[in-house]
Amino acid sequence: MNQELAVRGFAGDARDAERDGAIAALEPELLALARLLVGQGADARDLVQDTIEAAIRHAGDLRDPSRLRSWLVTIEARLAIRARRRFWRSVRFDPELAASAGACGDDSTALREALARLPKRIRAAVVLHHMAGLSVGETAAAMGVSENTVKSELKEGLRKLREMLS
Amino acid sequence: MTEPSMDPELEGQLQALYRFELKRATNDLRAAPIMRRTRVVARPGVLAAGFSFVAIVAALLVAVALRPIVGTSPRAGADATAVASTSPTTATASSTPTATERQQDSIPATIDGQPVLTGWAIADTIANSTDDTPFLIGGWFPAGGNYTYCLAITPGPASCAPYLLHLSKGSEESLFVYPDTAASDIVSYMATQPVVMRVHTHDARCQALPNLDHCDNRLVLEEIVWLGPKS
Repeated sequence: MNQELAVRGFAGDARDAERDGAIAALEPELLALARLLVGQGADARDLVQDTIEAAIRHAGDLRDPSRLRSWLVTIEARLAIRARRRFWRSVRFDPELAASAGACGDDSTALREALARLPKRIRAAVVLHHMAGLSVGETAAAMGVSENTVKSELKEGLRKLREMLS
Repeated sequence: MTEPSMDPELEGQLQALYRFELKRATNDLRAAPIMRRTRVVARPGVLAAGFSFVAIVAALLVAVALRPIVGTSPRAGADATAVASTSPTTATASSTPTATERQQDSIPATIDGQPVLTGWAIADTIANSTDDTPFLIGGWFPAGGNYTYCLAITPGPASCAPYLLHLSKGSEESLFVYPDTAASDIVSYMATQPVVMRVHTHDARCQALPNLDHCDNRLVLEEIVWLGPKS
């Protein structure tokens, strides 16, 4: 039933509300990824807005509703990379978030900072593959590069992270 | 295809960070939803765009022509069934409870002695809730048409629409409320209308969906207890 609704929604003959509901359910994931890609400020929310608007405009391009998540992540990654002059500059350490992470017993502060210091394309590869769970092929497609390039960027990304964390 | 792990410990830390960010984003969106800048529509083909333009112009002309008639006639569809639903909410929604004291926006402050939460107090309650104890929330249905709703506590992406509850009249700040039924639910609301709902978080079904990280924070509708006048 859900699949059927999704198919109708993205085929364009169902109501906008159905499609918006499907996308809205994935907003937390889009915001989480946006924050990892472009930083914790308002730019992350702008990126999510841009992603959703682009998805709605191109809703007809999604033929397989089971791929909605990776499709949205791909749109978001491409927008983030394309708009790098606007977005990437804002990646910085967030003391408020660090305090929050510490209060939760989360040992992620150093990792978050190290991630933010990675070169942008390498960071994108690490975030999409190791965090969002996209395959190497999907990551390559999202970034517009070859799979071999992604593999080498992933290797380099983990090496740099290890260096910064040691 | 999944690549062989190059550094399992570091990759595990990255995944833990991602889960942390996902929970944080979920809570943040509950408190401050992403606002749509403008209404975006799917890009039509050239021919469809032409027809759409003609249709919009025609609809505007008809609307202008009929406006005095609509304004003085009973709105049959809208007034008869503000919320026509298979949920147990509708028939008695606007008559049974004893609503006391009016808050701003005409939403009662209490119903049958129970406080009605509005605005950001709703987000605070969601953030602080630890079980499925029901509570009352008030807001506004936006003007709309006929929609199909269903419970979105399901594995995988939700493909149905939740109720959209505006925090105040005319506001774009809104919350999603999910009908408490596994079946599709036909609801129509044709005009802006204040509403009070009994809802809960931490729905029991969430326990069967451990991967749905934001499940516990979803508002699930138990009953519409009050409906105000349409405007």
